[in-house]
Amino acid sequence: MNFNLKIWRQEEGSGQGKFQEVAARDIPSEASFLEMLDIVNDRLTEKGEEPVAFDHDCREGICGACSMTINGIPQGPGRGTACQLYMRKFSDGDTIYIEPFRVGAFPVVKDLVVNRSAYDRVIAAGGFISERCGNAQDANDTPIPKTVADYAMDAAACIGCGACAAACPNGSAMLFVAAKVGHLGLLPQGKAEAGRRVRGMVAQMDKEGFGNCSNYYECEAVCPAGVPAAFIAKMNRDYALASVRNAVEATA
Amino acid sequence: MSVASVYQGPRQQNPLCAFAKSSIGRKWIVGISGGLLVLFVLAHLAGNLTIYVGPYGEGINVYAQALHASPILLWGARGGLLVVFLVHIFTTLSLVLENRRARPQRYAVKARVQSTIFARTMALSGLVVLSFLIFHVLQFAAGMSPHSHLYDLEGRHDVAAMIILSFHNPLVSGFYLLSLVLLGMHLSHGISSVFQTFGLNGRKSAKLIKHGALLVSWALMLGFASIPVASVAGFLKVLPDDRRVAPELTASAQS
Repeated sequence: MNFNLKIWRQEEGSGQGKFQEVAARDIPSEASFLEMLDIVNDRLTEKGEEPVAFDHDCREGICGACSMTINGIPQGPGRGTACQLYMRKFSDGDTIYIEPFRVGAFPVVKDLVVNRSAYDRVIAAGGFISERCGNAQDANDTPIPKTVADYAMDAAACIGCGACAAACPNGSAMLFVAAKVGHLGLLPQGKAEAGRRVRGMVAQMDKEGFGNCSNYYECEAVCPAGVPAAFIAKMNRDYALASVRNAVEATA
Repeated sequence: MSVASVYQGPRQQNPLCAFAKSSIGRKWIVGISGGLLVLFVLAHLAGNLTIYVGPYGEGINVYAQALHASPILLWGARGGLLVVFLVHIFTTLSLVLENRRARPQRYAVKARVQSTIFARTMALSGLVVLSFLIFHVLQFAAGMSPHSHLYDLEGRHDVAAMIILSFHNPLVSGFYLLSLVLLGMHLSHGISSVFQTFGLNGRKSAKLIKHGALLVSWALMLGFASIPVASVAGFLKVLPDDRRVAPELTASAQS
């Protein structure tokens, strides 16, 4: 298959970039999107040109490292990450725009690579359980209803790739933060710190310069893990209740 | 050493102030003020529909007279409404400005996956409705309409005639209908968003809220739109001028 690629090229440390047109010829239809970029990079290297920098790691759709916007859709069309997108999804001769995630809080490092440390700092602001767990407990020691466990898993499926913020016209990280607040807050181990967690993580999210939620739900549509936007509603509620409880406790 | 002198850590912001300044807190403020405005629009529609009472729309004249019976309550309500409007607009403005900064560079290819046109045009629809509102208040409430000095059979201010005659002007009814469509769009996203912001939009209720919001906004739009349509179609009739009674005459007749 042949493709006409328009790839965003940006020098390291430069705030400016531009599209480079690359003709990708004889690409096997069973190649993943990242394998297609590997082939393109090999050819660029052979010609003595700088290969395209892009993030990737597991290539199994579970690590959340790949981060690129393909034809305006973060992680590309269809559910799943860019590494799980196959070239047969496109038509022969297609023009494909490849851009980095465009989020103010994710500065471009080089070409398609962005710095997503803002998500790590949001996690560090409360996305953990500080009690020591000790050894693994007996399986039925802590009763958790199946429905609650399943719902928590829907949120825990988040791989922190950043596609939600990249898809949001406001550059908002609400789906990511809501997923982390949601899955920990639903389970007994995480409930003890739920209030402090949601207040800390939302405060850090705001500090990082992410936008606000306008309920477009583009995030939900592109999320490779299928985290539902209902978790954002849950976080809105949890945050308000935690703030009120904190205000009451501050006066006592 | 006294307990008071022990270092308590950095001085913490009042938790409620922190909430009101946060992204989610401001969304709550927009949601609460928007919800109050929806309640106002519902009450306003209920009041307007009294124009269908009586052969010459006297129902709305009686309703208007009752509204103006207590100036303190009326101006209190108007003042409260103005505050709610300003809070809604300026809080939204602060969020929108932040959102612009959060996405400094746009994509070369614009792709929308599932956001609705109602959601994407909230600022535009809100601004058109705001400009309509200013015109609307000047025209009807501030009495700048050329038809605002008529009296009905019993010497009441003939609000019905003012409305019906104003709508005979195609520019007035056209702008009114256009603003209603945009208000409907604004509310169809706004009403469902209120539930999302308050955290009431769960897995089970999401569909109900989405469709309920559409239904309520369409019902509101059609309810308001019926009045200009009925005016132009001649269903709503204006009291003939020779049957009007000036308020001075009714006052002297009573005394």
